Amino acid sequence: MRLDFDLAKPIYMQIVDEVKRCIVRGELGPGEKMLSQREMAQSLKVNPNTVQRAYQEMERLELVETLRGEGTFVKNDVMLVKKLREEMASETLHSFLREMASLGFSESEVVQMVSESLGNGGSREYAGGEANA
Amino acid sequence: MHDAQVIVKACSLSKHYGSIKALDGLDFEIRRGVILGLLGPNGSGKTTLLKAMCGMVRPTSGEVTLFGQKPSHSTKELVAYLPEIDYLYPWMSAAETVQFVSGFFRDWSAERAQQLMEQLEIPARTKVRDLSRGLRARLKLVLALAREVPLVLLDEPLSGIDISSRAKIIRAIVGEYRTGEQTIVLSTHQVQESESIFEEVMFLRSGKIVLSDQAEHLRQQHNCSIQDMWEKVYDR
Amino acid sequence: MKFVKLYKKEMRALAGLALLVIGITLFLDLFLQTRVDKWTPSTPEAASAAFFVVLPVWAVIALVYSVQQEWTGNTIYMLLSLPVRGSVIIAAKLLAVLSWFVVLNLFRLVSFLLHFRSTLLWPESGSPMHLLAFWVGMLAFGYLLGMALFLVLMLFSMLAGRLAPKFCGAAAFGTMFVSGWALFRLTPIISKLFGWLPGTPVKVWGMHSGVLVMETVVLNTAHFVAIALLGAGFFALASMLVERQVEV
Repeated sequence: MRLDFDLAKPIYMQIVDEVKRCIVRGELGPGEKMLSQREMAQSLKVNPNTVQRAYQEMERLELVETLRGEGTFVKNDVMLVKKLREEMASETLHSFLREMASLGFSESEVVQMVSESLGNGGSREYAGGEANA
Repeated sequence: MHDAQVIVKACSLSKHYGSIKALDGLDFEIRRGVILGLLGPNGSGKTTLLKAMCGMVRPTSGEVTLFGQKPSHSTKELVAYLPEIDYLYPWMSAAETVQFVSGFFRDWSAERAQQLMEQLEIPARTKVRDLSRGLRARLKLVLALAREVPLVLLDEPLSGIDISSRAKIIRAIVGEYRTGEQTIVLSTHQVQESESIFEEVMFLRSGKIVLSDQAEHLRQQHNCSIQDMWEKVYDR
Repeated sequence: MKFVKLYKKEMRALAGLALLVIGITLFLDLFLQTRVDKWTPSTPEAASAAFFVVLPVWAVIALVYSVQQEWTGNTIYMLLSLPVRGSVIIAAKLLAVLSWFVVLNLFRLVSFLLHFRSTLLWPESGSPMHLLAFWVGMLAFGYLLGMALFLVLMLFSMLAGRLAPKFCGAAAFGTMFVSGWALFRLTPIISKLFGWLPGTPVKVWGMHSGVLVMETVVLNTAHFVAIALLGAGFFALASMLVERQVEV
């Protein structure tokens, strides 16, 4: 897990978001054991208490569960990936639409721009990536 | 958090050198289990504050207490202090320095010292005077982190050090830090490298506290990094 | 344990300075020995013996070096960060200087005897050499104690001088004079307080009409007690200065 923080935003939330991304990308499977808090703190060079807060938040969001004496594991829930994916997509979408609206683009303009961008078969984001369902 | 034990307490702490007020009526508490960033430009009082906390310097007025006591030779058993300057005996080798210091502290862990020496890649038999600045800084760190001590005071552990040493030092600090039990105060005038490890930060200027808060809280509230906060605080 | 560590460190720190003198001594004696038949008789011997005088000067320089070096090399931070009492720190320094002082004197003596008076090293029994050796031993002991007292005063003065940050050299000298003067004035006074102590009988060798005899001499205990107390007092003051007043 590599993370270049935006130090202008709370770090613990960025850790949570990155773990979410790892789960969605399949880098962290359901039931898989996560790095210990200390290991993560050391690899990220972040205060262990900040990592602790991130882990607590992830537990609150039901992304992970901690088994005493054994460690922290990704929730063994196959639906989790799907749920997260949808959540993150929704967030990104809303944020995109908000930004486009603030720039003054109408709905139809937005739709056109998106299909053009995708239709130019080989837009960077999808080159070499999996086909979207 | 608020129930955590108070480790360091300062009441109207002042230190004057002639007409210069290195510390000017400081009031604060440092709680157990925190990594505190003591920030400020050179001359703001960071070094004097750290020295006052471990008894190297005596207050002109006011007081500072450690674990409820005034700094004395017995509190030295509970504090590991790393001065910014080169304070090691140049004629000793790295291993001899470690050997020398270890005999004075009951809380010394020889295995940890050995592991840190390896992790930080310090050549054991080289004399201190032949070590580069970065290696000397790493050796100083071993002396502090090989002890199971409740309070660690690091004065500019990263200044003037090469980048690879800096990363190693930060990793070692985070790796050895005993969450909840150990308190670390790290002073620096370069925030970039280290801001992600601070839980709390305290900005000093001319011997006074200008701002003191939790790092994540500042980020959330002001939407900027601690580095940016620095500019806001000092460039007025 | 802590004291031993500090003592070893101090010994090592001064080793360079001490070995320098040993080297000079050896070289000097070897050189002078070659001049035995070339210079006026007894001159080379006298020159070698005169070198003894250098040693107390060395002790003073060594102590000053030992203390000053901590500040100029910033290693005073190291000492002050260790959980040891001030008395242990200065005892280690004093003892190290004295230890090397004894070593250097012994070396000087042996080197001198080897080069110029080898017969003295193996005297016949009953000869006046025993008497001489005995008195030389007594003198040496007194010399050592005197040196120790002097060094304690010096150490105290150096530390006191640091309290005046701008003129610490002058302040140290001033303190030295005042301390020495105080020592002289206070010794008789304190001695009187202990006048009730019985004298200490000591068996010594003496010479009566060419015959070696053992006599008993009574020493004034009070004087020794007074000096010892004053010495301890200055040592305690120096310890306090290290613990309470020294700042970096």
